[in-house]
Amino acid sequence: MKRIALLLGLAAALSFSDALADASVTRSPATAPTLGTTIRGTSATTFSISTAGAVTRTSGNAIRLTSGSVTTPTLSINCGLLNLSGLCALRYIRVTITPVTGSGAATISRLRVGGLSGATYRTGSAPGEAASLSFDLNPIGLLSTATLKLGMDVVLSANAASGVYSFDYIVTVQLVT
Amino acid sequence: MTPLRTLIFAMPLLALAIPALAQEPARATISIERSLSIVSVRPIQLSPEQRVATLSLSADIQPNAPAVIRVTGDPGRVYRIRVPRTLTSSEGVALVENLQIWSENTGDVSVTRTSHMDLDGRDMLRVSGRLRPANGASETVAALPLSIDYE
Repeated sequence: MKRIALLLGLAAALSFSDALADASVTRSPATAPTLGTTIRGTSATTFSISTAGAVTRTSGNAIRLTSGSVTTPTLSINCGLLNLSGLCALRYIRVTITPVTGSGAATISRLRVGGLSGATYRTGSAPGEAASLSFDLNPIGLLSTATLKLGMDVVLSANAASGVYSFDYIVTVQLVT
Repeated sequence: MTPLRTLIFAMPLLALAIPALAQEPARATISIERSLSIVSVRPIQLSPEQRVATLSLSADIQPNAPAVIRVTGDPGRVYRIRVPRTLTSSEGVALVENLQIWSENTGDVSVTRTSHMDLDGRDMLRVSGRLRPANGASETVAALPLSIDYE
């Protein structure tokens, strides 16, 4: 009997670990923001992208060839339809957004979030801008999807070599008690 | 309490204790290029007596000599030259026609109007044409608009 219980326990634990991964985060579009063609500057240049997509040069002398706004990434967070096993719908969700530091000519120096819908911030307000963000959302329930917009400051190094550069970031969603 | 019952009671606690994690790597992009620049090295000189545009250069500035224009940009990039085929006066009279363009990197680009930068991001253009003086004017001065864009 004990052996059977242990085997059942092992199976339950395995199925639990699968179920717990059901809280998911997706972003759309696949690549965003796309700043477009920019003439390199002789000094490091910072482009600030608001959560609405407006792009402003805040320092430096690189020239973005268009003054148009960009599409900012929309992050969608949900528990999966009727996912009861992980108690995802009842638990706080911690969202962490961190830039991936690399050696490219463009890097993310600051992140900001806004336009949250389908959920509320645990603290009652959006987190302030920072080099990396970590904040909690209140439980989103069974059928809800929380969405939010991500803005950022991008630093383009001085006299960057020509080419297309990508700068990455990672969004992590974690259930917390 | 049997082990099975203990496990069943422990399952919700297990759900609270084990943090669930989902990660989404994301990417943004920017395209960087070197600015294009145009520098006039020599002005164009056109003589009404010369019926054929010359693209040859000499040490002296001849009465009929091409404009020399240095352009810079991204190494190896193809660029397009934008210049009118005929320069007309405000009265609609043709002043300069049959424009000829020669590129140090590409050769004669009078028709294609497309050239490329060398490995250092440079090219030299020579531009000439045939002057058709306006009636009664002994000396004509006109500006030839020329611009370049990456193709």
